Amino acid sequence: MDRPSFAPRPLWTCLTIAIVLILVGGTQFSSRAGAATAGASGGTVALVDVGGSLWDCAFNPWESSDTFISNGFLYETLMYINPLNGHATPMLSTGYSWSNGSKTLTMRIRRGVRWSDGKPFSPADVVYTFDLMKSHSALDGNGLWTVLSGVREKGNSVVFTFKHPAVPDFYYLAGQTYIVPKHLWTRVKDPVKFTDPHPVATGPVVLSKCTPQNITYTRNPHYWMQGEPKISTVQVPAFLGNSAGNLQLRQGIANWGCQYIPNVQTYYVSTNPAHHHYWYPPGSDNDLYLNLKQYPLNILNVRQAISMGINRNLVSKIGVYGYLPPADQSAIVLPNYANWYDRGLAKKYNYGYNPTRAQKLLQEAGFKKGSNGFYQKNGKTLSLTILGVAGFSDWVAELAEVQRNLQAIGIDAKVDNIGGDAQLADLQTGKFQIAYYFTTAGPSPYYELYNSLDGALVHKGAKSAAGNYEGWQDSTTDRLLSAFSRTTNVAKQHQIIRGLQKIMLQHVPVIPLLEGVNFYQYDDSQIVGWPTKSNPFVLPCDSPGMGLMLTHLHHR
Amino acid sequence: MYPYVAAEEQVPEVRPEHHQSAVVGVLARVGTILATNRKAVAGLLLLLVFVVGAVFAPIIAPYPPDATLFVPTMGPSRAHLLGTTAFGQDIFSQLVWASRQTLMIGLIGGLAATVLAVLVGVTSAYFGGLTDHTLSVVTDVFLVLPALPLMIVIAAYEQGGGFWVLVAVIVITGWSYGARQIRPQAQSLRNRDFLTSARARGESSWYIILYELLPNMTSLILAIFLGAALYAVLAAAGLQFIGLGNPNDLSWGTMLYWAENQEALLTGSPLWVIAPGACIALLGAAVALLNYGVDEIGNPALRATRRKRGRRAGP
Amino acid sequence: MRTILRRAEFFVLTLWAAITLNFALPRMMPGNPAEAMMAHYQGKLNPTAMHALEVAFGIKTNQSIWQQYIQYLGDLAQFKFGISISHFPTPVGEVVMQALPWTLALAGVTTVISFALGTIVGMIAAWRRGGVADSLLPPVFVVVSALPYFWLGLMCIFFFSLTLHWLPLGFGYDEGASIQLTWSFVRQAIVHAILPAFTIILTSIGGWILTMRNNMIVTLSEDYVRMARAKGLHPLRIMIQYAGRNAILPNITGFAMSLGFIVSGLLLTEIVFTYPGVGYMFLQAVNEEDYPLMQALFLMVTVAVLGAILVADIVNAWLDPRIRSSQ
Repeated sequence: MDRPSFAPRPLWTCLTIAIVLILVGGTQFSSRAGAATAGASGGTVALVDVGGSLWDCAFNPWESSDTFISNGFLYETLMYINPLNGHATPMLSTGYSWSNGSKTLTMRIRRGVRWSDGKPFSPADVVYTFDLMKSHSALDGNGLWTVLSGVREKGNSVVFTFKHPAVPDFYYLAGQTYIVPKHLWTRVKDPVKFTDPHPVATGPVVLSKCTPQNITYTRNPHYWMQGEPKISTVQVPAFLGNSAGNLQLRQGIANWGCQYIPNVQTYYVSTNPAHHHYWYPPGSDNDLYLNLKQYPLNILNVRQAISMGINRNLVSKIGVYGYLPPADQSAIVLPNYANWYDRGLAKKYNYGYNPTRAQKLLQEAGFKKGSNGFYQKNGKTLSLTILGVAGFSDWVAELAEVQRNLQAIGIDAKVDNIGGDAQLADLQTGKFQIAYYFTTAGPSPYYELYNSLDGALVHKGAKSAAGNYEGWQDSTTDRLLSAFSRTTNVAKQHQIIRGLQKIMLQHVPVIPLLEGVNFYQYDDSQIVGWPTKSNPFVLPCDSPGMGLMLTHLHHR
Repeated sequence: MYPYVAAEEQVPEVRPEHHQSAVVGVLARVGTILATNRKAVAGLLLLLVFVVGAVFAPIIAPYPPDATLFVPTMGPSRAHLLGTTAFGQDIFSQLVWASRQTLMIGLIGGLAATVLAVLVGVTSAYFGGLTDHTLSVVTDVFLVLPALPLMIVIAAYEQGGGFWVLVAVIVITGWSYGARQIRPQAQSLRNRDFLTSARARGESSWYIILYELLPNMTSLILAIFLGAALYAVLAAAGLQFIGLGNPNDLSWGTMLYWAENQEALLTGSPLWVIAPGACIALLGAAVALLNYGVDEIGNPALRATRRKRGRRAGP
Repeated sequence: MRTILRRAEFFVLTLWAAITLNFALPRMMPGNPAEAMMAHYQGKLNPTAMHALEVAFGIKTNQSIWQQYIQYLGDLAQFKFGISISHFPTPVGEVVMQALPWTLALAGVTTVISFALGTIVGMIAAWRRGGVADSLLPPVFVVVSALPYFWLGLMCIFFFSLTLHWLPLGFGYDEGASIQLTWSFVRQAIVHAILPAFTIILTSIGGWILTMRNNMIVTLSEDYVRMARAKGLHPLRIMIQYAGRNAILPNITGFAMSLGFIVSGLLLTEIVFTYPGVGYMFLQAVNEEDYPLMQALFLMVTVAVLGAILVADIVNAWLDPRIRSSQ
């Protein structure tokens, strides 16, 4: 019988190879960043900020999942308040004043501003925006209408009246509320569900094209800041995963990154040491919240021992390559608020890493080391469970090191990593012993201290905690915080913060572990004017600072 | 994921053996396999390497796996055979200790899924009628529900859940495959003379099932167990890799998760990815080879024939 | 007739199980989307936003669980899948449509190639018993099929992309490129699909080869094949039209039944290569507690599998006269 014959194999092989070569040979990585045009005008900024999904092309400044790319670039605020140093830069407002015992705020509105559709901008738009937030509480993410009582036009200004003095809310009101055009939004049926695919705003760039894969912004020719922005295009491609985004930064295809890059020195800087830079300015602390209602965390010595027993430097090195600086027990973020910080007080209490002293504190509280190596009292081993989030791998690594540190000083520490939403639910209802979580940031130490210490925030009955998860209730603290919110006097504010610092050091209601940072990389081979450590004119990779940043960038 | 179908549509001709205990039956089968099948022996040897490694981990691993004592992201050296992780842990020590959880998941997950599969398949085949109909439909439904999405959703429910959640997920999504294979064979055995005579003797249904029926299906059950164990290892590794296991557990899957998370391939630690993955692959290969050998014993027609000189092989 | 009824019962029950599972599981999970959103923003959202988010997502509903279930069934019947939470306020349908074509393309192409190639190779291997193909291929492919999909994918990325720079890292096309029907885009799409497709084909082809080979071996020992040989028919004709055609039948039913596993492997590959398909989107949806999106995707995958089984049944009935005549 014959052997079955088939088409000559070599022919198929050749065809396959040929097809593959045609396909592969033509693929090139195209460079997107810094299109060369002579002079200081023009240039492209390509941003890598991985969101994990494709763009929705929804630009609603309140509700869109892509707000970080619309707020600042497109929509603007009344002022830009720099969280790094508290400086206020006039934007849609040119100035402000407090009156009536800090219960009235008058903000002068800039003249000559135009919306991107050509219509003039006016104080009526500001009033409309705030009224919209009043009628739709889903839009009032910062809870401004819990303190505001009214907003109205007065000539070329807008007057805000408060129920009671709330000076720190100026940050949210002037610096975090994006103004929308009245003439368009009155026609919107449901501003909460409105996707806003064709945004009309006042910002330095306008939306040129949006696809799920990429967003292109171009210079706003009628921008109110004369001569700015100089750059002509901003590209924001969508990435599903960090690797692809980081690779584009590394290869110089993108020149601006807001990415966490493992081992950034090797991965990013070394590929172009002259032009690849990174700067990670701190924001607010990540705290270990201690449930003060539970034994043994209600014992001061135990809390102090924990704070002293953790090697924060090592935790940072293990968890995030050391990118997050160790936090100070006084909850003052350094170097941002160095001039609020009472160095002498901090030194007096001295919460630096000291495992020996930590163990002595435990012994003074009556704990004795058992045969298993852990301290115990009345037959019960000193054991604590730390609640973390399984999905944040940096937290998992950090808490694993915290666990090791605590076990080394004789505390039987365990870590329980669960889903982010489950962890938050437990935090808000006090179902934890120790939990690791963020604190709120702002232009002064007040915001973090308020968020972690104010007595009105605690979990009570059916009301879940909106902060102060540890349940700290102290009248002195509340008095200080309330006093701060009523004064605009800088010297008084500093004094109050020092008082709060003392409470943090004396009573250890929460334990700041590491300072959260803004991850920011930039490539100045073609575009310059970036914010840097020596020139921190904005907090990079943060709304609305990202918009203001564009007005400083220009081609080499 | 694993469309390797052990020709379940062909019900092998099984000659019922004399009443023998199930354990002896299994041992006899294993012995036969080892004696005659090279692939099975290769698989078994490979499996033994891993088992020995897991059992003697404290002796074989040079350092404690969790200790973050060393310089991170180092390449292989005499002190660190596979280098170190981004956290400063010895990769080789981790690899050896991690084999424990991976093997345990394979063993327990595979066993549990097999038990459930046999239970459902045999009950369905033996009792027939409405029981059969209901169980068959249930089996088919579970078979069709896409396993990975179901696994992801369940694992996400207990995020960071770890070992037992993984086992539960594996059992829920993996039992139906085996049940579907057991049923036809159990059905064909049900009406054989030796079973009829046992029934005539007045033996209870459970006695018949345990001592007459099951011993005659040992090779199929063994094959199902090996398939289920393989599925368990790969599914668990997959879920852990995505990040739905407990990231603090130590297994090959979580090693891969951390390696990928720290961009090991791009930051000069490819061994951190290659080593645990290769181990999973080799373990899988070992189980698959063993399974292949068992299959050939069960169905002699599948055995590879060797060409004899001067004679053309063929039917 | 009985078979058709039984099949219909199976389809309806599976669909119902998937729908109810879809409804129940997200509600059994701890936490709610507002909390997931807060966690997602990593502390950048003011804690006071919690209330605003709950209102926006309509979480504090007063309906009982049964009312929600009935409402859910009703909405499904009208193809109303709701608004996505992680992509708020974009509707789920739109979000899914971004990903669906990619998965369909990848799945369709790789399944067809695996099945066709595997069946042919299996057929040849069985025909030439004892030859190189027969003794070498089965164990090789048994081993290859046991490799974890995702590890194979990572290795491919490491070798072909990072070391040799022949192929891209992943994703569906060059990042930021716009989707258009031009040759340059289509070429990008094909190039980006090579590695994921290769991984899938490599791990799934083994199954087809072995099944086909095993079935062929049994079929070849049948009398009618012996008769065909005796008659002196051309070997190729015997192999394909006599033996192959009958041996392929269990393959088709096997294929349908393994669809659940095939889909799983596909989803895992998408995750490894961050391929912008349904699989990756599903993982993101679960991580963000995006109930509406999760439900829609899970249901869609189940319906697709059921649909494919239905098609396989019809093809089987058409090819196998035994089934047709027994009606």
